[in-house]
Amino acid sequence: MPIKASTQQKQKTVNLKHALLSVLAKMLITILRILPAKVRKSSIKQLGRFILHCAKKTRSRAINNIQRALPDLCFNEMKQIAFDAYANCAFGVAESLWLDQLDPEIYCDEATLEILQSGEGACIATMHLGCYEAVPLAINKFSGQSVTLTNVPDFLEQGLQFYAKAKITAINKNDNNAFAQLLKHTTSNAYISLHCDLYANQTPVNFFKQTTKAPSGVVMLAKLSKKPLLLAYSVYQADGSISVFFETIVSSNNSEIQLNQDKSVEDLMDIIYQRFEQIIQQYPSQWYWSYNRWRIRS
Amino acid sequence: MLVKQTIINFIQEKTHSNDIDLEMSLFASIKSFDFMMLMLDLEQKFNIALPLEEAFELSTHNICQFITWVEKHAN
Repeated sequence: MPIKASTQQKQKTVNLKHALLSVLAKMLITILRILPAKVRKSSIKQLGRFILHCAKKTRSRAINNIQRALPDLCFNEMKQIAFDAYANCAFGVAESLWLDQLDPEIYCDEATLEILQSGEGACIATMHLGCYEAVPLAINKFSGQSVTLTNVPDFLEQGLQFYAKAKITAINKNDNNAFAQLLKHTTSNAYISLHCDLYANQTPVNFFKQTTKAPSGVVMLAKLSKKPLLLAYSVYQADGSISVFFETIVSSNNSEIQLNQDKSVEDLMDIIYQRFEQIIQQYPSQWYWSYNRWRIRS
Repeated sequence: MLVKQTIINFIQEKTHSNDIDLEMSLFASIKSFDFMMLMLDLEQKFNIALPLEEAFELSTHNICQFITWVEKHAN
């Protein structure tokens, strides 16, 4: 009996904590939404810098990661990138809360444009750069079927509503059948964008000359569904506008079984990660450096 | 037999158990991400193309039916 009572007490505490966080989140979102765009942007960026200043462990992890990837920089340059990137990422995440207000510019070559306009669907590898959800948002300019995986905290009740408002189908990452749901969407010609630049104990990749592992779900989806495999990323321009770039990794036009016969999941992940490296080197102050990306699991 | 063994070995490896109940639903036994891995493994190993729509219907049934379905495509 005492065990049951203790579990109930714990659950009550968790519920109370969630309720409090939910109220705080709602208040913060309401305040941010009514602020003029410029004030909103600078406030969030300042808050991001302040958080990194206070979070010693996060800051040193970011600087270590930058050192690993961009070893030619001096310490002050690394520190500058760490703070700029954290501020930009804070803003990029926050913009997910008013996705319906964003209007990204799209850039791609003709072959990629054809895939995006075909209405036949594609699987898109994306990354935590610029505005994180700008890629699924940009897809909506071509197709009404933009699908993504998300990890909205429990306390953010209205989390998925932000996606729905922007006409994006968001599937909770923690659902047991998340990939089954994604696979089902591929059969109805959806455009599925998944972030695959962070760590997952799935496929070995070489990232900035070090071996690590990466989530390869997007490549598997493309191979199984025989859909084209694209890469896309978003960046903030100096004037504050968002640009989204789409590139083709594998087009399924040449042969229906090309994806299965020519390149393995590992090969395709290597191609994606080589491009990720180039993109991060081009926009170092817009990538999320603070993540424990190169972890080693026993 | 080879298809059946491949599927059973895969499920055993993912569930860390040698005791597989073939009457259980495939999705109740393995995660949907692992289901994708299994489908890709089977396509590569037996050089077959497995229709996704049909796979869904079967994966919600039991492992035994899934095995029979893959065997039909492998023969």
